[in-house]
Amino acid sequence: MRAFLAEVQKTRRRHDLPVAVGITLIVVLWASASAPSTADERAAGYSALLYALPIMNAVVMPVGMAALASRIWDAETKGQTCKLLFTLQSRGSLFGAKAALGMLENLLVCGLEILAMPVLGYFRGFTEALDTRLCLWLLLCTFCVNGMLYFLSFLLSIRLANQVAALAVGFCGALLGLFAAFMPVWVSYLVPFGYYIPLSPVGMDWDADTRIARMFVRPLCWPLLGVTVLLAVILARMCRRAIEQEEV
Amino acid sequence: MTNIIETKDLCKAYGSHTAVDHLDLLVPEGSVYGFIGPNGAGKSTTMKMLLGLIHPTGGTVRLLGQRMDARNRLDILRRTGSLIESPAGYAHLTAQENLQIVADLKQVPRKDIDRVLEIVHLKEYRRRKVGQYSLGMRQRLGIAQALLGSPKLLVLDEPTNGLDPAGIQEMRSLIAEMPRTCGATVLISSHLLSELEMIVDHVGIINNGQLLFQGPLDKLRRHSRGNILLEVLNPGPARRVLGAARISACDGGDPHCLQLPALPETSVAELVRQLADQGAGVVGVTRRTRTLEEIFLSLTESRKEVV
Repeated sequence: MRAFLAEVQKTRRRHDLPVAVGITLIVVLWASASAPSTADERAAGYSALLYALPIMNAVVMPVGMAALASRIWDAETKGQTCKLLFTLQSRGSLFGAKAALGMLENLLVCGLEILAMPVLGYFRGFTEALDTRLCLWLLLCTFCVNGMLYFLSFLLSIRLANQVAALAVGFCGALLGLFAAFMPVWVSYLVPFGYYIPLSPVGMDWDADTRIARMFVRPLCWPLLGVTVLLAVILARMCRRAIEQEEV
Repeated sequence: MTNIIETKDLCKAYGSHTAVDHLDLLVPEGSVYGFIGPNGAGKSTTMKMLLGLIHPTGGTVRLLGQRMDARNRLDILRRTGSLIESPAGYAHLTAQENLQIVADLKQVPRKDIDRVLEIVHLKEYRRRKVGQYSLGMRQRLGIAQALLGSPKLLVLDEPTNGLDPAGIQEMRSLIAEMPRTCGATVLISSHLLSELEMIVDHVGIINNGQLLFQGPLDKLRRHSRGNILLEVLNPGPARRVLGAARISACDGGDPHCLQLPALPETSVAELVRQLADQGAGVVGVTRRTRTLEEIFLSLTESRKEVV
């Protein structure tokens, strides 16, 4: 707990909160701009939103998570503080505190996104009832994929002093993830950056003849969620090991 | 006198390169111990091993009377302050906020921050962001971090690196006073041997990972005698006596002043007696004190073990 509180103190004037809110704001503003406008579309407004948000997340979140993770570790790199911290706390506790802070920021990003949905629906005049279960589902999946990408970016930040590397990987990953979404399903399984889309709670049937899109609730892909969590755990362990092996 | 640091056969190897070779370091309590050696001699590696920042490949470390291991390391280090190579600090935070983080992690009351800021003369700049500090101020902040909680031992690796002469002088007086003001033992390494000479009472000289000398500075000076300057009225008889005793002498331009190599006290006494007997007219015999830098250079160049 002491180590976590120290991490929280380090966030002062680092503007982590505005960055986290900013990430959500980009997604929400984008979703708002492309929100259904006709009466028919508004009748399935939330379904459309639940379908669109994972696609937007696939574009924004990899870069967002890289930004959050690199800020958290960059403070130690720039301040050359590791050699001091390692005499004051165990390396494991430093990792634990940073992981906890990162996951808290991740939860804030995901939570704000979900909370923005009814607000968006209200202002856009959605007539469809909001399914809380699907919102929680989206929250869970976004949190897990974000967590995995957070630890990937965190690992890059520890291993490479130049924090641009994590951001560049996040940016390229976002493009790859989006690209994979338009490929056969098995391709999207190969690109973890884009797991937001195959884990989406809502799917869409597009009838090319009638040009009518029909939204439908998809069963949660538990194996893919399991793989996501497993990757997150593996990457988290690699981060811990990287801190434990960090040369000072 | 008890030793606050004791290492036994401390070794660190990187592949085939041995950075520290069976080091037996003994730092007496209450001393200011200067740890000196050329670049790459193993000073920083040794200091990092003392703090558990890198793992030794062999040997043991005893700090504050306890053998250090993974379990008690942090407990011991909470009673230790350190500044390794460059000061640590979060540029976006103020000095006060940086010290709060260290105090909390060290489990030291935050009221101790005022005391250490006072010692390092940073009290009036406490609310300024560390990113706006000069290097000297950062070094002093590093010392303040090390002093939090009144540690029994301070490990300072090159604390004057990058400081201007005024900063070096300030740091020197700060460190020299620590045993008196804070009751701390100080282990300090520096390249500035003339500066170090003014504040240390014990020295350890390391080269190629091996300790060439350690002990009180006075002892090192005694063991590393300087040249003798012999002033005589009659150089002729004096040269004859020196020639008979097979002692080489050079006059450096003044025939009445002869420079002799370092000699033991008994030999000097016998020589003076003979010079007086032969009517050389001895006016003065002066032993030139060698600086720490000269002793260090002669030791590290010859690589001979003195003690």
